[in-house]
Amino acid sequence: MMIAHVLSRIATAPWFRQSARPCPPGRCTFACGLIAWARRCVRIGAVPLFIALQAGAVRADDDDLTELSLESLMEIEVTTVSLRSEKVGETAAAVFVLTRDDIHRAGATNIPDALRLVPGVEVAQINASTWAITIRGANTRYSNKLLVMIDGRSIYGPPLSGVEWGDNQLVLEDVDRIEVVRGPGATLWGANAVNGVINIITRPAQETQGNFAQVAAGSGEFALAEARSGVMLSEHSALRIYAQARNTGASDLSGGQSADDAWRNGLVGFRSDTAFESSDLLVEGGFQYRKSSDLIDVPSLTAPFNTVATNDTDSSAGHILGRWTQRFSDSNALTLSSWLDHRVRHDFRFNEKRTTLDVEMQHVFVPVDGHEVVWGLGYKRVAETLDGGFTFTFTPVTRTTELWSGFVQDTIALVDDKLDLVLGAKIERNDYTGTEVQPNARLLWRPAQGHTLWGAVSYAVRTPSRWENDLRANLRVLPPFSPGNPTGLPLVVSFFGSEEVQAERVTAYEVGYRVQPTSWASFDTAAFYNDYSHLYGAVTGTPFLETTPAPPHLVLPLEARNNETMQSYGFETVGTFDVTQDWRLQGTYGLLKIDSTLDELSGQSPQQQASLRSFYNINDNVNWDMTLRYVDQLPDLQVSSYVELDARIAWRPIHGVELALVGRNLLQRSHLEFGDGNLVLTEPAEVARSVFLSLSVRF
Amino acid sequence: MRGHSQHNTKRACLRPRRWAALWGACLMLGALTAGPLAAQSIDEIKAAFVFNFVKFATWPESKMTGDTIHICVEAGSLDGEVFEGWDEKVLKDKAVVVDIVEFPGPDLARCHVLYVGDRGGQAIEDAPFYDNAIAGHVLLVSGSENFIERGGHIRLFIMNSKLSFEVNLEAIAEADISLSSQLLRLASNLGS
Repeated sequence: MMIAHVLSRIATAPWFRQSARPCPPGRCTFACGLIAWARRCVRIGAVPLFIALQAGAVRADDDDLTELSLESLMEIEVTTVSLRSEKVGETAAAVFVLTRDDIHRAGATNIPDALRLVPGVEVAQINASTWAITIRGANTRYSNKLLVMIDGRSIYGPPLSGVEWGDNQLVLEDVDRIEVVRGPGATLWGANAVNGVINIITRPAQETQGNFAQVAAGSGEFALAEARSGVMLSEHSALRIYAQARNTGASDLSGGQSADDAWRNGLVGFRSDTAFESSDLLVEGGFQYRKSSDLIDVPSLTAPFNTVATNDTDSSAGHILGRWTQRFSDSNALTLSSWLDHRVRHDFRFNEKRTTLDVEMQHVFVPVDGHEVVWGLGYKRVAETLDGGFTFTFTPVTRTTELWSGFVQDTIALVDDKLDLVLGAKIERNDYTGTEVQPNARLLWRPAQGHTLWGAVSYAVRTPSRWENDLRANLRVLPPFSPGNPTGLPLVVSFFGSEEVQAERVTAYEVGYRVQPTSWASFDTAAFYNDYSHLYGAVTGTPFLETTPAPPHLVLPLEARNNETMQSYGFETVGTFDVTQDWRLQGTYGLLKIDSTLDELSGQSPQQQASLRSFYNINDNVNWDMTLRYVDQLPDLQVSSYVELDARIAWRPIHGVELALVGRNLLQRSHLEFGDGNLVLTEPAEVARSVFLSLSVRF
Repeated sequence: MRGHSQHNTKRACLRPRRWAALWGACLMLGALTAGPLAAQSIDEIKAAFVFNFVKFATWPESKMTGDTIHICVEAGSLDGEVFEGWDEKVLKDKAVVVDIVEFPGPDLARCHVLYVGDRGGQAIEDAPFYDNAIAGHVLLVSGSENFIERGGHIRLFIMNSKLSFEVNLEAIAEADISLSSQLLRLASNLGS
């Protein structure tokens, strides 16, 4: 009765009926469609649905693992320390896990496209090989408050504080899952995990035995070839080797001209896993090469002063990683890991050579009943040479920085299986701002009747890197006697980094609620309020005369300062329904509101995002999957909202062979996803409709 | 210079508050109908594996004459609470009975499967109940190290943070039990 009453209230509410009216042509089609769908659902289907849910709760206890298949049981993550399965439903944070199947069935060919499926993650493609990706706001090409790791190796790059996605490709077939934590994760992962953490985890070599090869080709001169081979080195030791080559053709600018942004990359690598009786050893390494181009603004001191030119980029990167886990008992384990990453990048603006060494230790144990303690120590050393030209100059050219860190976190079972309190803090000492302490407190409550509620308060920092300290960037040259420059000399607008800058800070408040009423339906919602201070901005200094390089010119300095603030709040929610055994639906919605002293922080992220995914198995050998995505406008970048559809149909004619036809962005010929915003440093291109065919073989 | 934020742009049909209210209502409805979502211990997962092993095992006909399937668990090996509610379950059209057994103890002949506790590396073959268990066609499962090398049938172990299992086909055949290929294809090791 109560359910029917609530549904009835929704269905008859004036706002709901009004919102389901036909939309003005071309406006919010997706949103209106969803509202209309929801309205129909409430009117026709929701009552029986929720009565069924209620019946299901009595019939099938979701906590009953005996109803899971062996395959499902083998997928449950087990933390050796806590003696508890580490399920998403048990985490006091906004976590979303993209499984390998999710990625595969989305037809994604790169990590950014896979991340479009995660609620609360903002993915905007800038050109063929460049993306702006963030979580919970402040999106730009180098989103500096998002930490991204591959098997625990950070790919967050210090020169411009962000991730160069085009330089970090993977064979997606070998990705086990992508764990996305929205909100600060600094206590465990350290600085720069301010707005979120993306942890890409590849599959153990034992799971990738045999051979795999895939070729794909389609519109936009897209071609992809990848192969992998796995062997057992001994009874307990396995190895895989893999390689990939990719070509993506140039896209168009909004005006129709070529964006000159063709992209090629290749990679080779290996992963070896050895499972001893009480320990595991992981060793992996890889090398990748990228060659791409884009259009950039090039300022100069002579006429025509500012030109748009093609910028050729080539980069190469190699890494090796080792991780040893020793289990002393089911409640006591030690992990030692280390990785070395070396990369070289040549670009019009600057050449980069960077070597990173990282060593970490982590120990988890149960000191007394009801406490689970994880603590660790870390050291990172980054040696970097940034050799610029007129546009970008780093002083000093070469700099080596060190980072020391230690953390401890205690999960306290206040009430067994009901209430957990998590307290933790990380202390880091870096060469830019000295010592930073990042604490957090989390509470996880599992009431008896099947809800998981959690709340968290965290403090995190984003530490500065080379560009805030060492960079001088000549952004634009105003010609003599032009608007903004009444003088007879060229006026160079220049950004100057400063040794005085401090860390950016956030205090985050989060709450979340998860419920899985039956084995075929689940909901997960998280809401947040983030209060940022000491954000980077710039103040205009006093113009001065500079005689070198010639000709003499005036400089209008913009000096880095921690003078901006921001408050953001919103929520993300995801609901998953197994409609039938062969049909799954997943809907997501995210709302983000930003108030900031800096326009570009509030206007470069979509206020709303929504998606609806359908996974349908037509039969055992044919899948038909679709994703409808809505992304709100970016007012500060003059980017309109858009609705797009991705679809994939896959057919397995014989065992081990799959043929798939994938269409991406099918609703429009092309659309713009990002604009010429802060630190974008390239001409944004249109993202075009594309179709490709792929063939994969396992043998 | 970039333009100012276009805050005056109205979206006629997608109002955040409405969405929040709608979705919140859905969640409340879900909550009203919720089932338990408690933590799962590693013992629960191990027990669920044992449950699945029974599904895929075949015993001699002489062992399947009764109306019950007996899952025997050595006392102290798995948390007894994880078997709560199992008395309502049915496997192979027979009611499931969980017996917590201690050694030296009752005759194991009624057991279809026995979960054996950690024997500290000691050979299961040396255990006093071993011969009776084999003669009684009892499937022996354990998380004990070296379990299958020393006469056990199926060993559960953690690999890469997930539970996996290995099988001693030869020993299982000695007990006149067979396992379906659906189960064997998931085993990490079929060695003896």
